[in-house]
Amino acid sequence: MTGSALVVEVKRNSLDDGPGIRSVVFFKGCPLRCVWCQNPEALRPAPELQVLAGRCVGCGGCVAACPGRVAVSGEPAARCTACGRCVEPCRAGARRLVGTAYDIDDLAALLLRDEPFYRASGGGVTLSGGEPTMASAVAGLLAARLVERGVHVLLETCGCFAWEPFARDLLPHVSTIYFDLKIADTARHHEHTGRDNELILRNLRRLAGPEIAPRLLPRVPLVPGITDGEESLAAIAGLLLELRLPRVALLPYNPLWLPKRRALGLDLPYSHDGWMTTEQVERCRDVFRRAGLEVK
Amino acid sequence: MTGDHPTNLSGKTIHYTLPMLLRTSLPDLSEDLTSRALDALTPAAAVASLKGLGLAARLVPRLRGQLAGMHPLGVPWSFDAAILFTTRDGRFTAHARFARGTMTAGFGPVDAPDITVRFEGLEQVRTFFSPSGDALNMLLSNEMAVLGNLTKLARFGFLTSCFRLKGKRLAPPPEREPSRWQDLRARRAGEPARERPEGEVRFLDDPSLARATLDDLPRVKRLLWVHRNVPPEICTERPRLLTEFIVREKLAGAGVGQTPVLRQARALAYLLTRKRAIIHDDDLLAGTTTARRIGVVIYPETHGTTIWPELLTVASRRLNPYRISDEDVQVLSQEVFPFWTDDNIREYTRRKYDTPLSMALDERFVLYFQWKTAAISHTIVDYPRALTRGLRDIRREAGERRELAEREAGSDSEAAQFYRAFELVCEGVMDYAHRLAVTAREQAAGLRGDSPAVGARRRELEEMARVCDRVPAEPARTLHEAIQAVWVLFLCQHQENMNAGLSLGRLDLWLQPYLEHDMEGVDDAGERERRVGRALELVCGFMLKLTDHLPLVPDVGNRLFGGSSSDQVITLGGVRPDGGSAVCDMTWIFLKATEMLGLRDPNMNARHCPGVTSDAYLRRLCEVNLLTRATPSIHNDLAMVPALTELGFPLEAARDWGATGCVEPTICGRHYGHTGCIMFNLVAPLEMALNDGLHPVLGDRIGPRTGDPRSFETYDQIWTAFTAQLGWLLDRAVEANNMLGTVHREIKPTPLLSALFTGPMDSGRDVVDGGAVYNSTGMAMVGLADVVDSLVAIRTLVFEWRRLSMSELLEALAADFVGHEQALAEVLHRVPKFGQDDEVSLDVARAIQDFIYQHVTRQENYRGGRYVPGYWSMSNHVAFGLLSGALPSGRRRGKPFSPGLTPTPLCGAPLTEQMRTVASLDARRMPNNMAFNVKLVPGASDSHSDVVDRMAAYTRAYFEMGGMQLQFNVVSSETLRRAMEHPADYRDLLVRISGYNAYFVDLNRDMQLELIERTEHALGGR
Repeated sequence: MTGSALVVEVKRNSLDDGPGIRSVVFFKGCPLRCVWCQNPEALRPAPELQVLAGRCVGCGGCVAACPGRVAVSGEPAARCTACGRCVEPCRAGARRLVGTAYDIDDLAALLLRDEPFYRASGGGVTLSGGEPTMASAVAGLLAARLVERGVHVLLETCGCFAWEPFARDLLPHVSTIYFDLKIADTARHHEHTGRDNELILRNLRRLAGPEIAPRLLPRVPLVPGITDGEESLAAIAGLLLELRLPRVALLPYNPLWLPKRRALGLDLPYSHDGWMTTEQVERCRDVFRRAGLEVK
Repeated sequence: MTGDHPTNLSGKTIHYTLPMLLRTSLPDLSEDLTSRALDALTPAAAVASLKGLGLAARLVPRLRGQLAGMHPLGVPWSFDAAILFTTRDGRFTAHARFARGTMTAGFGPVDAPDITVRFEGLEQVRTFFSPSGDALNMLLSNEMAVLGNLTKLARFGFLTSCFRLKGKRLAPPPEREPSRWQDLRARRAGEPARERPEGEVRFLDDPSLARATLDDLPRVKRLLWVHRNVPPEICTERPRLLTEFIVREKLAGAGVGQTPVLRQARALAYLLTRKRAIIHDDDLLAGTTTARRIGVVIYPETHGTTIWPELLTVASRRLNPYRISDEDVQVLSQEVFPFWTDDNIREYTRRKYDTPLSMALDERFVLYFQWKTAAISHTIVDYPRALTRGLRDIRREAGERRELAEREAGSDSEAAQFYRAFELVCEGVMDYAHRLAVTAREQAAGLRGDSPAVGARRRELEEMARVCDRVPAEPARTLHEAIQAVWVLFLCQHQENMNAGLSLGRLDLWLQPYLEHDMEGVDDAGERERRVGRALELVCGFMLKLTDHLPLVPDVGNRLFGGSSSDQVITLGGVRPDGGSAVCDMTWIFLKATEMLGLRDPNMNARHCPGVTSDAYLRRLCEVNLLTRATPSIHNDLAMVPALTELGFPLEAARDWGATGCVEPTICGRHYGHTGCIMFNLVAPLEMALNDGLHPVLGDRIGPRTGDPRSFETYDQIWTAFTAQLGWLLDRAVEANNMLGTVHREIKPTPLLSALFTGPMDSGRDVVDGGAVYNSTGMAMVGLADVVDSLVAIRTLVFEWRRLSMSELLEALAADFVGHEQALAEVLHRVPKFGQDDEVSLDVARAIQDFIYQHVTRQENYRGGRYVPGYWSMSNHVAFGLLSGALPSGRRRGKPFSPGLTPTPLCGAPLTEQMRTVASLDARRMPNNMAFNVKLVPGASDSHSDVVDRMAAYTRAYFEMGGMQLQFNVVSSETLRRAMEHPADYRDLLVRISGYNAYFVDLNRDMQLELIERTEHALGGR
């Protein structure tokens, strides 16, 4: 059986997305619209045109090639349909169609190229996004292909998925799950992510059973002014205690995503432009430590 | 390092020889005059300046003394030379002539010039004869070229230097701030090992020796302080004695019927029996390479005279200055160098082969570099044989063979002389060792007082005397005896051959039996630890001994290369000839010493054999590399051993390889491979192919005509043109090496090296005459990644995608991409690059490697061995890059090539992709090894142990995929930038260039920038 997955990119040699040396598959498409989203290019489940403005040398290839006559040198066009005809003529390689339909066999072959690094380091492949569970069927196929070859597969999810297809197609093939919890309060969750968190919490409860829990790591992104308040964090800590999940990981905010959003021609609903200080992060960690949780 | 090109012909010095006309009135006039008027004035001004020098040389005794003189033993010399100055178009010619102690100059040509200095045009003549003229720069930028006897030109440079400085010396730089040895801080130590791998450790409780620090070894700390603080000084002991020997020979009319081997042996014995026997304070090992604390060794018979023009200024040069006493300036310029002007390897070769093209190409700097003009010593002698037999026994065997030869062929027969030579050099070494014992006893007797410290030193000296009484004449028994024997044998080899690349082999494996002897029957844990501590102290002392000398590097060497010391490799670990792990207690002890000292030299290379040598050992290699930032480099036996058996070495021999100089393999003790003889610029043939044989930077048609690339319609035509130029240039490089090798055989055989080798005793031939058991010649190919990226760019952009015409590409290259930004962007961002785990560039890389392998391995060297290619670059990737134009890869004019076989900084791929690419090349096509530089930056929050684990993981995976060699620099570009700004704070910052280590602050600016621009791979999150 085979299939294809819409993928933003495959990032090899990642040391930040799970144990050891890993490759990360960023699936395209996500049900949430978090205002701080680090991978804005991965939100829509369809190809998009990305323009790296700094790289444009003004060759004009895009303008000449655009069938809708909307392309503009060096920046994303408002009425762009992402047909992709301007990518090839761009001499500077400044244009990229984000969202490639990968054949699962090809994708598995590419990921297996680094198999010796996974084995040597206790690493593997991380399914990320976007939201891999939006493509549970193909993601599951891919994961199965990798597990067959002894590769450790880790899933990063926002938790917002339909349980049935996930449990049937993907869950059996993933070794570890990183489950993101942003905000415990339903209304605030809706305000900042575009969806309420009922489904997410229901899925978390299902995964918190004794079989999966040891392989489950809840993660909390720290977003200044949104998720890093003491009250918000304490509520998440309470939830984890209730579910008897002993560990949590915190993801301190980084501002590296801002240029990516500009390159897609998207506006900025949230634009905090700094790094968190060690003290700020420690304060957040303390909230969980006080609750008796192990903070990664 | 080095540069045996005596190119500091000191044009910069000549400006003071200009008459008043040029010095004062010309700058005033220049604002008004057109360049045509300047051109009209230039010839007269230039000739006037030469005449002024001639006049001064007649009137000023000090200068007259440089034109003729007398050796103290009564042999006269004079400077006889004709120098022709000309422009490329021939519109300007002038000459200077030296004869019978006078100098004359004038317009027009001169008969049979010894040297021709050819300027690109009158503007360059003006620059050369102007106050700001810098001959070195002009030579390197090809504003001028020099043909002919470079030694005479060096001599001319010294004359002008004397004139300019009026006999004075430039002041040396101010002393560094005095520091105290006590203030030397111990480096961070590794963590205790997690396990004691079975079979690889016997006596050490913790193989990492984590508890030992420099603070426990005050003696070692003081010796390390000397290394870091005592400035190097030129030593004239060796060249003075050697010259004395040849002058005596001349006076006695000796040497008729004497073979070169015997003459060399007599010269070496003369040296060894007169060399001062020195023991410094704190030494546990007796003997020194030179008579200076840190001595620069001069080999006038090879490239020693290249320092001639700099004698008055070398103490004050910016990079790597050497001290030199006034007396030694006198000794070199009056008693030594005048006797070697025509009789060094380079000039003898030029004469013998009538200025061959292949040599003239070498002297253009940019095509290839021939090490044999300076050294032949990239090899490893048979230490186990010398340690187990002793020199007396080797001399005995030589004596028996001599007697046999005398009976069979007569006492003057070549064979009899050959073995007589062996006897003489063995006796010379034993005599030197004996005098060391005498010195030790004298020092012991001379100690006054009875404090515990004095008593302890007295006992040490008495013990040293006993050790020197025994070794290297008799077999070694203890570790102290074995290390002392290795040291004396090694330093004596440096009296014979240049201190460049001579290496030490598998000292851990070879010294282990002596440690075992010392540990025998020791059951008490405290005593065991004490003896291990003593072994560590001896090893540290030995490694510091190896820093007591430096190779001579003329300033052009600093500009082109630089920062290198002798590159004395010690090889650790790997498999034994029987296939088992060679890792042993001494391996761990050497690693601890490496970690504690952080030295650039000895150059530590470690072999790992996945599945045989343990993971704990690999992890320790990574840890030491992390703590020292740059050493040891790590080799994969599973790649190297098959590469060697493919060449025809038996399996057991292949398993006994040791790295030599940088990384190159030598089958220890029985294989003479001069593994670093040719540094070859792979980019040059590409530039020539793109210009129909003309080298664009040199401005001359160098290679065969391979067609105007504008007319090419397929990639195959480019490939054909490239390989035609490549093959042609490889042949020239090989030809030059064979000529130089033949000359070594004729005038500079190596009886000591040969006596210590396995092979020559049986074959009756010197190692430079093919006497070793195995013979080969090792080449290094520089710039592969740059050539691959360039060919891929041409193939894709010009011929496959048809987005750029060949004419446009050539125009862009000629303009260094200025005004061709779109083409540059396309090259940089659209074309696949070597290192991106991409089949297109891998195909091209493989095709080039196959071509080179087929082309050179079928060539036989002058000793009956094969040529073998490797892919490492020492520092020549910077030097060659400096002299090369813009490339289709997008690399700009003058930028460095990538080091060794490392993807270029333009590649930008993550480490796993780069490693997979490099590992995908066939090790069997690189039997002279390769160097893959990886710059790592640990994350701020990563634990020591995590970082080590990650380094080990990358190495394991890379080796599993077939990777051959790996060398980490663990340092961020930011740290390197800070070190550039505040060198005084980073004096001991160790970096790996391509195969060797250097202290970052000693490097020239281009090399520093190259290191900064190398791709930085993060080793962890923030």
